[in-house]
Amino acid sequence: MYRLIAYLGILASIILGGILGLFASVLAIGVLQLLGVDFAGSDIKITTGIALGASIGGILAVVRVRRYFRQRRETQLVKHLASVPENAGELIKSIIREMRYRKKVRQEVMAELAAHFEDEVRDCKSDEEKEQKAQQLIADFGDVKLLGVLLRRAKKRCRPLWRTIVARTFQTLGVLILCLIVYLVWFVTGKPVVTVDYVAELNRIVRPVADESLNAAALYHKAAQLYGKPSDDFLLFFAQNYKAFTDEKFPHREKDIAEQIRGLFAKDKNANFNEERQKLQERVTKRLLELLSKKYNEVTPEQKQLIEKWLESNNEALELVIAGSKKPYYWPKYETGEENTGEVMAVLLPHLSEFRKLVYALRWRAWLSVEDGRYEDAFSDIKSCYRFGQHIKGDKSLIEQLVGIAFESLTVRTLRSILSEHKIDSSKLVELQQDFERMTADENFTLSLKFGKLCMYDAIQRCFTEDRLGGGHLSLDGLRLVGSMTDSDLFEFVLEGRHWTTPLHILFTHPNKRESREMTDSYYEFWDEIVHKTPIIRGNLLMENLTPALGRINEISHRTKSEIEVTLTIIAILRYKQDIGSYPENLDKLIEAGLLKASPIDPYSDKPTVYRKTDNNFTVYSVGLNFRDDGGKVAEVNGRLQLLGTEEEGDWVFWPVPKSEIKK
Amino acid sequence: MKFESQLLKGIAPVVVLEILSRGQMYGYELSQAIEQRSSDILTLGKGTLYPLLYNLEAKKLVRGKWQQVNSGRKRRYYSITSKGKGELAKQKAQLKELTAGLNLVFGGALTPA
Repeated sequence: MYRLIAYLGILASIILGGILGLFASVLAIGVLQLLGVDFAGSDIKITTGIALGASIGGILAVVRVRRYFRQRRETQLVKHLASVPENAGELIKSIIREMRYRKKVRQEVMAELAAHFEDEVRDCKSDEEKEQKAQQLIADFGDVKLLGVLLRRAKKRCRPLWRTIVARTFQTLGVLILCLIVYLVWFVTGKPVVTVDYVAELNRIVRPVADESLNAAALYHKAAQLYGKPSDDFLLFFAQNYKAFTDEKFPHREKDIAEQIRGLFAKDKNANFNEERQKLQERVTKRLLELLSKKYNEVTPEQKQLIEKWLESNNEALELVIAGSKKPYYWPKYETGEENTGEVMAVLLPHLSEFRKLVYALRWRAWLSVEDGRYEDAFSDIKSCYRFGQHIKGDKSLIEQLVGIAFESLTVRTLRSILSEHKIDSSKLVELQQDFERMTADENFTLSLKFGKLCMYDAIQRCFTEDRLGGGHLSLDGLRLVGSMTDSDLFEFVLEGRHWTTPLHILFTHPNKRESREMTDSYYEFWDEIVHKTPIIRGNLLMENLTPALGRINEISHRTKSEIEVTLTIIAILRYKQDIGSYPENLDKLIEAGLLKASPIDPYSDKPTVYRKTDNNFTVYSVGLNFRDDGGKVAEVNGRLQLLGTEEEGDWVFWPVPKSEIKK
Repeated sequence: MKFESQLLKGIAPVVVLEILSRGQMYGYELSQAIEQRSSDILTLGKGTLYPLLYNLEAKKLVRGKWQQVNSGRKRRYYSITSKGKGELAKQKAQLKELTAGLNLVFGGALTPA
């Protein structure tokens, strides 16, 4: 009964503690919010408050209950020993102390021994006689320590099986908890050891065995720095021609810029002149860059004039790109920003957005040159753009490789649209084809993940501790590092939105450092295997689901390879037409005529790309995303052309160039 | 007369079982009964009695039970179990054989006159 009341009391304390914890948490959060402290994740904090309050309430209740029962036991002991002589009472207490066993059992033994002494001295008439008799019995009891041990052993043997099981279970649990505490201390105090400078390793693998003078990096980076800073002449030109920008959404925006420019240059230079000019330069640059990202058919003749002027004013930067593209190599020097933590993940990627702007500018210069009939200039810019893309690729980061591929793809599509709209004479086509064949002869279109692999190695060495056997476990610093990538603190990263077993997985079953390295190696080995596979694996459910991201990225590289091969084939077909007077019956005719080395392979069918002669023209297409030949039909969804086709229908048509790809 | 402790240790359980086979007793009563019935020849030390009782209880040869007596005090009474009775019979038979053997060795000198 007493025990039941005690348990209920403990439960009530836990509940009360939890409620108080809740109020305290809400109050604390309210105060912090009033003080303007940003307090994200308040629900977690409230839960923590409740748990803390309940724990404190529970602990306090357990302490009080234990104290009560101890006092109660002591009272009972005193009651047991009240009827025996003092020296006998001391002996019994000593024996019981030496027993060192469960309190309840000791109490029973004590009661039994006390009863024995009581019976022995019952017939004694005086206290003195009782003391003497007790003294005699004490001597008869023998060694107290030995008796305590014998009693304990005997009582232990009396224990029922279930109690033995419970005792052993608690003992085992105790040992496990002790081990767990030791393990947790070991786990929490483990620190990663950074032994390899992977940024230096990256710089080593991207650099070919070549002199710095052969590196295009300095030219490209200087071009990026120079580009997009309009001269005063251009600003004034913009002020005069701002109407070319008329935007229905913001009718007064360019007018406002133009008036400010006029106002700035009309008055004498004041103290804020440079500052105001810089602001206007930035606004004008932004508008021009928006314009240059448009396609040829999307801009007005007035806007073309502005673009032409813009390109003239940025000629120095563009010529630096041309000069850079003539260098045999490009390798950047990777650095990790101002904090310089040495982490590969913190490596700053060099001017990629600036490079993109330069490519758009060169593409526009090529279009404008074509319009003036200056095909050689146009092709020169196109080849430079392509070479620029080739430079950005290589054993660099995946982002750089994808940007390089995008440059190549953009260049080739621009070239096809020019070929589609202009009749280029055979000699120029020969030169163009030969130049591209030379440029692409040794080009590796497969993506390299060396950068990513080193990035993983670096992350592993920064997330795992080091032990002598090469194991090493996830460290708190490592978890914080990974959590920071998802903008979460350690607590949120480990618990929020995850299964409750995640902390256990991290503590006990997470692959260790060596296993993580091995998994990384396996992953990238797998990549090396599939990187040569064409997108046809998308028809394979297993491959599609196991490698979705890799598959899509890989697909892009195969598409670019196909684009350049097909474009060279188109040049050969145009040459054939000019030489023979008609389009070839099939692509083998081009090979027989020595105009083409091999038919381009369609990455979506692993067969030669489809070529067909049509009335006064021809068509070249890939079967596209649905892996099915739809007769060279371009898919359209909601009025927009789907150039690669869709999962349901359509082909990826290279020729005739789809309308959205060509200028009007 | 004092016996060698090892000799007494061997027969003490049989003696306790034999005494308890005649009725339940508490510790003090049992020690008194052993002394009386053996005419003070056999005396179990108090430090031996209780561990012995607990060991017999662990082997399920005796059963201990708290009972309130007329005076209002509680005593732990021990009684022999059926398993204890079986064990006692076995031990008694062995003792009988041992005595017969010893008599033969000592030429009947061990048989009381």
